[in-house]
Amino acid sequence: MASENIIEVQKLHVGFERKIALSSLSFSIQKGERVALIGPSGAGKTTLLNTLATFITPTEGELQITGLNHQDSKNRKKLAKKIGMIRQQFDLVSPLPVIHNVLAGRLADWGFFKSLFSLLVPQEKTLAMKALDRVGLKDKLYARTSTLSGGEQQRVALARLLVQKPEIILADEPVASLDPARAEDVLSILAKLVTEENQTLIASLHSVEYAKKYFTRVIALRDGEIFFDLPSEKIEDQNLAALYELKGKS
Amino acid sequence: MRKLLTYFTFLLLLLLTACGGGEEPANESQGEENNTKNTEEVFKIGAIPDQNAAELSRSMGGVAEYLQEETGLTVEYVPSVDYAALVTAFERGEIHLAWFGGLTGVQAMSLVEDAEAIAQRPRDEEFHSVFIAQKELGLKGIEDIKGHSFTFGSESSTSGHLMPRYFLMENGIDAENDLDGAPNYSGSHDKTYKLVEAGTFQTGALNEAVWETAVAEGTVDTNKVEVFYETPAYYDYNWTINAVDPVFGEGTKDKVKEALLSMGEEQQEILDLFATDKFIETSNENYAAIEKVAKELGIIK
Amino acid sequence: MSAKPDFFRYYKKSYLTIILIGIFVWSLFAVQWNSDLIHAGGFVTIMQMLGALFQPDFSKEILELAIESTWITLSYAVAGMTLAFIIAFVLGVLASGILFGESRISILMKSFFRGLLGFLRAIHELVWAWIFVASFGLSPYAAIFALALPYGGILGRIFADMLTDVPKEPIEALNSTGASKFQVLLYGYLPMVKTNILSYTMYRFECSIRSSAIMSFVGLGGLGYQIQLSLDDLQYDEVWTFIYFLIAIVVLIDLWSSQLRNKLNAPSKHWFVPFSSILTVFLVAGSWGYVYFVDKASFLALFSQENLAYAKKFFAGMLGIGEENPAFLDRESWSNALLLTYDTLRMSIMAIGFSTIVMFLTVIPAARNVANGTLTLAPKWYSWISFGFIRLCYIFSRAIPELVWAMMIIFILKPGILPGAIALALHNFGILGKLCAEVIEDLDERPIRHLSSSGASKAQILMYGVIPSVLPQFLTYILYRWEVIMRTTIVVGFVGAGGLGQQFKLSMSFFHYTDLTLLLFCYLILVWISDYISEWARKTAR
Repeated sequence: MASENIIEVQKLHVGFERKIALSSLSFSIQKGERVALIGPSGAGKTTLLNTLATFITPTEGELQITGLNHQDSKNRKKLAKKIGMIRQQFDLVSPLPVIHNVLAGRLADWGFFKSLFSLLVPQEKTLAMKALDRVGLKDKLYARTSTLSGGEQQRVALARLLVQKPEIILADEPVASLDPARAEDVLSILAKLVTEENQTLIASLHSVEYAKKYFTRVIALRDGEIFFDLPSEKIEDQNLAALYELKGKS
Repeated sequence: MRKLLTYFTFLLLLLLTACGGGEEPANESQGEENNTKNTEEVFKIGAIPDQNAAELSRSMGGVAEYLQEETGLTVEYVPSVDYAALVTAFERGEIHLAWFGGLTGVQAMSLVEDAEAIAQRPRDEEFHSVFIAQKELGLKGIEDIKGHSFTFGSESSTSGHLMPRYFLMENGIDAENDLDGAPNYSGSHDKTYKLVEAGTFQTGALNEAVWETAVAEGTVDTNKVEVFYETPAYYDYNWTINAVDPVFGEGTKDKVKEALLSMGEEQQEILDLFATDKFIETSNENYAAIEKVAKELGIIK
Repeated sequence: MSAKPDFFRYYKKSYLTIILIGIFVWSLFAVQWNSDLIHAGGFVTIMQMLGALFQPDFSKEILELAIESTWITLSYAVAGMTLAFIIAFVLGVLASGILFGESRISILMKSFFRGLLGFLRAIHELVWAWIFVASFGLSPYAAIFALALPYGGILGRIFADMLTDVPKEPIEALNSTGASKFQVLLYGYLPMVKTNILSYTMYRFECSIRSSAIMSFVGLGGLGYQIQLSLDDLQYDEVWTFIYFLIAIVVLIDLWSSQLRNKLNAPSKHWFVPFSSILTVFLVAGSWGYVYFVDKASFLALFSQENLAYAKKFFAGMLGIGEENPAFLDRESWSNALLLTYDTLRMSIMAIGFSTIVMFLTVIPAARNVANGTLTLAPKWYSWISFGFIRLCYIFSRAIPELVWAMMIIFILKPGILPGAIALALHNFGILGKLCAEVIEDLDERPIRHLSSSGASKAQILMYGVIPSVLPQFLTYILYRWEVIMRTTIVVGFVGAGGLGQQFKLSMSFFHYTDLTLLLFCYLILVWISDYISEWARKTAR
């Protein structure tokens, strides 16, 4: 992993009306890194992810994503090749069978008629089956997505990412609504897949424990600023205590 | 919220008591007691809505005013939107004197035993329907109607439906199959010529009197619409009076009849609206032929 | 769970959809599609009507007439709804079975009252009106009762369901205190369903305005009466004035009712609630007062000897007593009626098909969350314009009763079942559109946004995100509207738009009572069949 930076952020500043959400953030992320964003609620984790995904335009500062110029970020199809998102499991279309939710990852490449036809006779079925196999759900191909458990649904979302094959994966609290066993399950699959595909992963998390266990680097945010930015093995307990300290008590 | 329910209940109670209390005056105003002669009872007249409603309320309003002066009764014109509704109202005694067409008159006479046709216009003894068409079609006779779209007036109209249908049949034309599409029922004579003029239908059949008035007043554009067939004569419109003597006192019927028959030059304004200069006597027997035709066409069983 | 059963479960729904589309296509064959469908001058008439649309007659006379007619329409609706509320309340409580025990007779009683409510509901208000006019004469009470019965049926059924669905725990607690059945009703059931009952009544109130407007077609006053008179004179500018008044009153009532429903369900008290109660009291008192004192319609006089005699005569006529050859014993009449029944069925299917198509074409931009771009993340400058325009069309469409649409359509299209189907569709696409746009507004936005962010095009978002999520709910609404359309087919026929209704009107004009019995019978069978099919299809789609 030499110094091939895939994301470069300089003096990034994001404000909503008069409120400042992110103030002068600067960091760079190399290809293949697995970065966890931690910090108390309201620290700006989701805003940062949405900014990286180009949904939010920064008020000041610069965001450079390698291989993606300003024009491209307006083209959702090109953007989708570059960046994939995963949130809580609520971003699946629950009345659809699993296979169509997985194949939705291919929509950026499909034309109108192929997409329509696929709803009747699923296209690129082997691709979907392979992806589901890798997340351990190959027997749920035609199950209605809403009948799956939370952990299973999140694995469907992972299979969709496998089909979409973006270079960067942005995950916003991917395990927030899962119980610990399932959360670990999903995170371990996610980390494994990202490594296998040599993708870059940036995820916001509530749990420091998971951050240290499944990620190579941790960026802590507090009040819209970077509190610390360390490789995960170098994080000490006092860093964390300070990060989550309630304001009035200091 | 509780208040709302309470209001509701309170109001309902109030209403029930109100209805209960209102029994007596209600009976009085409705005049249910048949034997007492009730001077407050309104003598209601009606007309089949066979033409423009505004025009009808002018002519019928005039008649109401005239009858009130002549007979001393309180006379009121009640407009109706539907032929059958007028017949029903007549049957129920809610209309005391009605300007009926031949068919509605026959229906009324068969429903009310004592109903009597008392007066009509001279022309009603020898009435005609006219078949009209868009001029550019250049139709020459009744046979030419085949393959064109066509509208009757009201299905209950004599001159707008019954007799035109009868004469179509007499001329070997099946109204349901030989025209362009099933025939329409426009609802009134005015509407028939307006629809033909507007081009909605190519041909139509209507009352001769309405047509002549329209031509005279220029409400129809004769450059666009022309008559291509006129039916043979038959009896049509008449004033039919209900069994009014028990309600308004003996002699009311004769009084009304006398008043209608004595309309003359002084009432020319009203008579003009009926396209006549006087009313003449008629009787139920004159309508036996209409009844026969209606039976033949299955309209009366 | 293996993949196979899942596979079939998924495709069962697709099959149902395909079957429904197939039925619609089949219904289209009832019409011979060529240019002959439109009157030679149909286009001219359309232009005349559209021209008048923008130049309504706002002269003083017409405005005064319109205000008076609006009041008549409103007061009949209010009076009808008060009665309907009472009917619904009494029958609803009885049909819910909460006053009965578990014995066999109780269950029988319960189903009897449910059946009674179903019967009241099945017959269209205009048919009721016609029956009441025949027995009571042209009294305002004929209109009021005609509204009260079917609305009582609709409300009563919902009330009964609400009472049955009440949580059981508080009721059991009351029972254990030794309270009588009646006390449990007063202290347990009623407080729990009160808000829902009032909301639903308010919701139906808007519909009753439209029903009240069309009462004129049996000869009772109001806005419909004026619309009909003006149409008869081909005064389209006047027609639109009255229609604008109708739309205004419908929209006002709709606003009031939706506001009140929001406020009723809100946890805190709001001035709007007591204000609405006072307004309700005024409306109810004003309406009954108007009917009683101004229209001088006595309630008790309705039950006079004379009216009894007329009613008897009427029903004897309907039953064919004393008639040599009643229509319902006549082979030819039967085959005629069945043919018309078949036509009417196709008309209803065509109508729901047309309204569904138009709904699908317009519903996406008509959803608020599409217009402001939250759903697709792609707001466009024209979004709000198309949103406003389509919503305006919806209001227009649903505020004008089917019957009025039919009266205008028959000026343009030749008589047959197509004008009827189009009139029904014109009224229903607005209702369907509004309901379905609300479904989209309530949609979970997250999956849709994800699709959008993963590069799916608009069409793909529609196919993979929106349609699968909303389709089950759409299908429920479509089938439900189809039931309503079925009930209304008879009414559009009254003005010559084909099917059973047209024959019904002709037989009415000719006083052929036994024919009417036969036609009513066929009509009831149709309504019953459509209820049954739609319930089955909704269950399958679930």
